Amino acid sequence: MNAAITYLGRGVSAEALKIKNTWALWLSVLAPLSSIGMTFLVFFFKGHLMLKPGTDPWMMWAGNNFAATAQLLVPLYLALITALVNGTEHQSGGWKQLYALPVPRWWVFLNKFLLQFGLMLLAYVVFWLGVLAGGYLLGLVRPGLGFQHFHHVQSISLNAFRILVGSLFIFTLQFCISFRFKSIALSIGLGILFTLAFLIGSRWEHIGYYPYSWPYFSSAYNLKEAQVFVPQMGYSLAGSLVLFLLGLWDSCRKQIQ
Amino acid sequence: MKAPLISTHQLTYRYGSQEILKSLNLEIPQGSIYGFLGPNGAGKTTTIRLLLGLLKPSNGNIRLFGQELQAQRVPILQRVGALIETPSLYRHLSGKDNLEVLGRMLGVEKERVGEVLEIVQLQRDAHRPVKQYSLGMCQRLGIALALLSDPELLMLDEPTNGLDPSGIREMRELLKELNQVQGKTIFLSSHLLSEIEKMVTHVGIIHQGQLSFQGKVQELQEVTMQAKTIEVEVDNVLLAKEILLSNGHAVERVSRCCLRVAVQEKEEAALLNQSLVLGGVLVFGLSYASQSLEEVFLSLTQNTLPALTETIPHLSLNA
Repeated sequence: MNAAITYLGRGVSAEALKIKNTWALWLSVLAPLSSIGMTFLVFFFKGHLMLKPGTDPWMMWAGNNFAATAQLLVPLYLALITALVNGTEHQSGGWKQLYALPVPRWWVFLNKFLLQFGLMLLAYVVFWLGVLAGGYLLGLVRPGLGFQHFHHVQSISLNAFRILVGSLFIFTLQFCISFRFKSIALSIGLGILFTLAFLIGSRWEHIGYYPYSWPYFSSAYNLKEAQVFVPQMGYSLAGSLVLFLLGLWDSCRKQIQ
Repeated sequence: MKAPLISTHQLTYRYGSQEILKSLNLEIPQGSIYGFLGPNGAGKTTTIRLLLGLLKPSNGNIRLFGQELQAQRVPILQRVGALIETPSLYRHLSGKDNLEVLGRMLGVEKERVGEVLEIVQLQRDAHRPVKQYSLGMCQRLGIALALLSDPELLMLDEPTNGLDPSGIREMRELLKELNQVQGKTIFLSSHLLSEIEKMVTHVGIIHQGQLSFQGKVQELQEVTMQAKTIEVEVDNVLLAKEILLSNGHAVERVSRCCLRVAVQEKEEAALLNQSLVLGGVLVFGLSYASQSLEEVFLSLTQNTLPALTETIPHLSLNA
């Protein structure tokens, strides 16, 4: 057990060094900030036209941010980040070196998975803090909108967590695709295609079973009746676990031609 | 006699229906520089990938340091450093960072990075991004990566690939020093005998997935001494070839009117001439030649000379 932890510690630290001078870290910070920044500008300039006086502005502010993020930003960001990080290994021909190291074969898959999971977590933390900070900043610079009179830290935090769980399946799927296939275009292209399929079919009655809709259903924002769990979070958790185990198994029997 | 550091028994690898390696029996002695020679596509890289556990053999087994590779993969690889084809380098990182990445994975001390940079003489360029490196510098960084864990065995796939003559000479000196001063066993592959004949102690020649020769360099040189040929110019090449083959000679057709025949002694020329004349063939010329080391290598790795190689007894050391 100790050996496994040592291997993982070393591996994740090495993987972290590999993303130095790449866009991976910046993407994880800038992607959520760009979405929040755009919504912020809309509220800053047109907030007084969108909100009825005296109503809770957090509902619309958080709802707009969560909807855009869950529908579009999350799947596209996950497709990009996994393709970018795993693509570095494909481009450098690094798999042969990694699999010739004196470490168990599962280690290669797990290190990369953990690093990219960490990047995804960073993006969610930035998003979560960004939504809260953006709302309170609007309360300061646009006091007329009324942000300063309401507080929803708990429900916004819970909702950010729900989107995280709802997007685990997409993350694992995109990770496995970019780990398995050399073509960056393929993994990003599939990510875009799956996202578009959700947007096109969003009115379909069974769309809730489609994995790329799960972050959206997990984020269905309601400040008053914030359920902790929705079925899509369960599908996402179970599906990502199955995919993760399949990917790990496949990586252990991988032959490096 | 010491057990070989690497040994394979009936090692076979198939890719789909194609048999890439056919019952390979390699024996690499400890402390040697073993040159694994063969033309492109002969199966050299596949062999190295099998020896590193990157591929699974279709048949046969591999032993390194006296242990089965499949059963003891991790402890065996702790004693091996490898460079497989082009070095795996992260081009956006500096040379030092590339070493640092591998160093973190292997858990080696930070000082070791500086040591290997010094060995391959890359200290001055260590902080430059690898994308600015020349091919020779990349190869040297690849060697540094292989040396990072201070392994007992180095496996280098075409380490002189793409290097200019001075780069090849530098690489040769470096590998000799690693072998002679640090006592490392080196297994290196190449498709050019001339590039490695001055540094290797042992040679294995692979052709179409099969081992055509294995032994010390001196043994290959002995083969060279024995590999003598006579070129015969005749009016009827087909008839001449038939007569010579029926007399047990190894024959190769050189041109429309010329044959090359393997002989043991120069004196055989007279007997050869006599048998041709008696068989009704007009002989216009006979010229005697012995093969160079390079020619022996070529004769072992070219499809045009199979009969010639069959007559050289030293060449099939698969047993």
